[in-house]
Amino acid sequence: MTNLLTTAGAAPDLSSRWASKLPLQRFALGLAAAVLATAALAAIFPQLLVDQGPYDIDPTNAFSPPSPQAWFGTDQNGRDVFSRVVYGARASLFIGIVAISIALFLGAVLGITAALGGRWLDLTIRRFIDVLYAFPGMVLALVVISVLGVSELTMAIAVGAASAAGYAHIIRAQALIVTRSDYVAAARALGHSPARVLIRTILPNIVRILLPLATLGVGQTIVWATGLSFLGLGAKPPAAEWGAMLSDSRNYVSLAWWLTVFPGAAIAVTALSLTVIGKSLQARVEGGRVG
Amino acid sequence: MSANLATNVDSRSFVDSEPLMRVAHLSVSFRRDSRWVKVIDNISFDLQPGRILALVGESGAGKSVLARTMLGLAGEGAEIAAERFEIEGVSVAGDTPRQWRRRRGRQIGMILQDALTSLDPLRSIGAEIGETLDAHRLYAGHDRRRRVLDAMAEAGIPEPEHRARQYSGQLSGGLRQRALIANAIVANPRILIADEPTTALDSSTQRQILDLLKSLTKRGAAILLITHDIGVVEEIADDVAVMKEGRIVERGDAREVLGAPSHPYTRSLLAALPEGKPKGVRLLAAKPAVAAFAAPASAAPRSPQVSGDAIVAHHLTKRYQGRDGRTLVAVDNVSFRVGHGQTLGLVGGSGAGKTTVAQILMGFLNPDEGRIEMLGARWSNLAEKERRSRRRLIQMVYQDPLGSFDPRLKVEHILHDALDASGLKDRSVIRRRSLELLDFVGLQGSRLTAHPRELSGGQRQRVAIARALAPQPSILLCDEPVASLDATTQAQVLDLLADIQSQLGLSIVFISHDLGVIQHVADTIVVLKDGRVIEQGSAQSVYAAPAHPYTRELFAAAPRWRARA
Repeated sequence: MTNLLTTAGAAPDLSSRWASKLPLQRFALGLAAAVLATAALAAIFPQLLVDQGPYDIDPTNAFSPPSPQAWFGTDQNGRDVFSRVVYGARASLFIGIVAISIALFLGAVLGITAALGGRWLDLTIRRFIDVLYAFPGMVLALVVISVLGVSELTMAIAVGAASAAGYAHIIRAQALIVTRSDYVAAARALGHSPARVLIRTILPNIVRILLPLATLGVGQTIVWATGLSFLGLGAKPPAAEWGAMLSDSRNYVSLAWWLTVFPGAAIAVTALSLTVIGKSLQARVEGGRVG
Repeated sequence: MSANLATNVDSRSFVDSEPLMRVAHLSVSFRRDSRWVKVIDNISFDLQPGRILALVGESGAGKSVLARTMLGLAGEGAEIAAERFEIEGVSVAGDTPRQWRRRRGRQIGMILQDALTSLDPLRSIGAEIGETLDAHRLYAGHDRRRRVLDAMAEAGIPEPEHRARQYSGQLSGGLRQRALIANAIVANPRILIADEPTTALDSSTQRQILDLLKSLTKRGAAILLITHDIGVVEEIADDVAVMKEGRIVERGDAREVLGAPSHPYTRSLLAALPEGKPKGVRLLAAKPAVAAFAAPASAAPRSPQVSGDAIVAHHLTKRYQGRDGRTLVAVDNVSFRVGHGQTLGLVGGSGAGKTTVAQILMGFLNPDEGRIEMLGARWSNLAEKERRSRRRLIQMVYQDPLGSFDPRLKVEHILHDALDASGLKDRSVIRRRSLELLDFVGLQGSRLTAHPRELSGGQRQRVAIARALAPQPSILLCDEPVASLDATTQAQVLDLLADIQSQLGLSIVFISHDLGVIQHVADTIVVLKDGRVIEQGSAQSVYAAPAHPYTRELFAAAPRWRARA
């Protein structure tokens, strides 16, 4: 043993899943979890994080840049941007979560029915999904909003409906994998009733993949929803909502960068954290499937 | 320029018998739970041009880590120490990943086991193989295309022009394996590492691939063949090294080592082979692990019908409508019977209809014509309601045990679910029976709380057998149950199945492509080809004098290994 050499390359799959995580990955996961915990706290108990209200106007103090008194500066009416970002978490997360719930519910109904409902139902639903796919999501969302009117809830419905097609596709594929698996065959061979096989074996294994999908999806729907708010189709100024704040600030971009940067950063950091957590959940679920 | 290169390479002679790879005192360690674990322990070997060195050993012996180390892919955090590590006379100790990338494909080619997952399903075979050339900036334009087609032809792919445009999903298992080999040799490496290259193939395809590997050595390649199949070693290896727990325990000329093994471990490996051992002979010397297995008083009588046959299949036929409108006959007029307490071996290449017969036997498919009687009563073409109450009587053991368990469940839940299906509701009774079942298949009770992922391949198959036994079936359908296990584990599982059969008087239908295994387990044999029964009879008579030419061909193709007792 004279010379010592090390080589790098694909990580060996010798150690357990968690132990094999690199320190950087673990750090990113921890950071993402901390960001989301903060966002959740802001959404539920904003008053714990700030003492100033999001709508407290102080015209004498308008457009003041970030300072120890106002961390994120103030806007054209002298409202504290930090307080507005904190209070805005509720509306943005609400829209994101409601939207993804609607998307996954519709996706699950369509996907599972297509997979389990026999050939003709499958064919019909798949054509329907294809048509939904062919529509640009934004256009679809605009249609829903123009029919139902402008509000945070209708926006959530619009975003949810517009992204349902993609989830229906994924869920249908998973449902097919599960129904054709040996473990479902084994459950049937044991003489379990079809209802029991469906409820105890097939559905839980389809639902398993929903949690990571939901986590990844919330980040996307928040970005979408803020996009709609930016267009004035969701939350309206002066509402403290991240997208609406962005929209509100666009006239002052050259004057007060902090009005745009901080709500934008809140959106980006939240979406990114959700993606990090979602990816990790997905790896766990898939690890469970593949072994 | 590239054309010259091609001719140079082709005319490379191997009269110089300098080893292409020299490894001396190589050790590889990984950090596991803050301890260093030596996975490869002080191994030395040379790869000579024109020779095949076979590396045999059970899973976990370190064979794959060794192969990856030789490709510079030992993995991050691996600590590698070697006194000598040379490729074509150049020391590669301490080389950077970049240097290794230039070497892989060009100097060392790798042939992997699972061709389906190793090929990109979204690219044509030709594009995939060509990429290896691009990676090394070898050949361009027309020459590149020429070289890809040549490599495919060398790998024995018929009509390479046509096949190059196809995708991996459109090729048979044998052709996919050939495509992988073409990919490995396209950049003319002189060293080839083949990791279980024939494990997933049926015996006649296996034979063709082995012949192909052998022919590659004729042109000066040095091959390191990693396998757990002694039959393969005997068939084509020049030298053999037996690995156990990271060390080489015995090495030498293949014929000498296999003919007169000196190390006890090599002897036990050879003894574990089922070939040439008739039914009833234990493969491993150990006493039956199966303790007396008392059926609970509440249990239904195991075999309601004592006389007659366990299964009678009358003229089964199953057709499928192909995509192009043609009718495909998957099973064509198949008849057989399985006597009580007997084992029927179902043999055939891939596509012979074995799986469809299994699906019909399990009552998942109804035959278009013909019928099945199970334990004296009609079984096929029944309403599911009538069938369900009798489903417990026939249980199945799958090739991939992990895939046959609900991924969410631990061992205890898997067994609970199976016992629950057979009508047991009392939790304490279920728990007691679960422990009995585990004990019966030779697993410790503490395994109840394990997830199947945490178990070894053999242990998983034991859990699968325990689950199959839970509802007290009369018939066990085993679909390639030992195909993915190494020799010793395979012997343990086969012994276990034999013990169970003699204890419980089960009838078994055993599907396998491995003739050695079938010979060992079966009382009667049915040989399928293209959905038809081409031969059936008692195991002895079929083996002693196969009547049909296809059966003879099948036997001739199987790597032959006769126990030297």
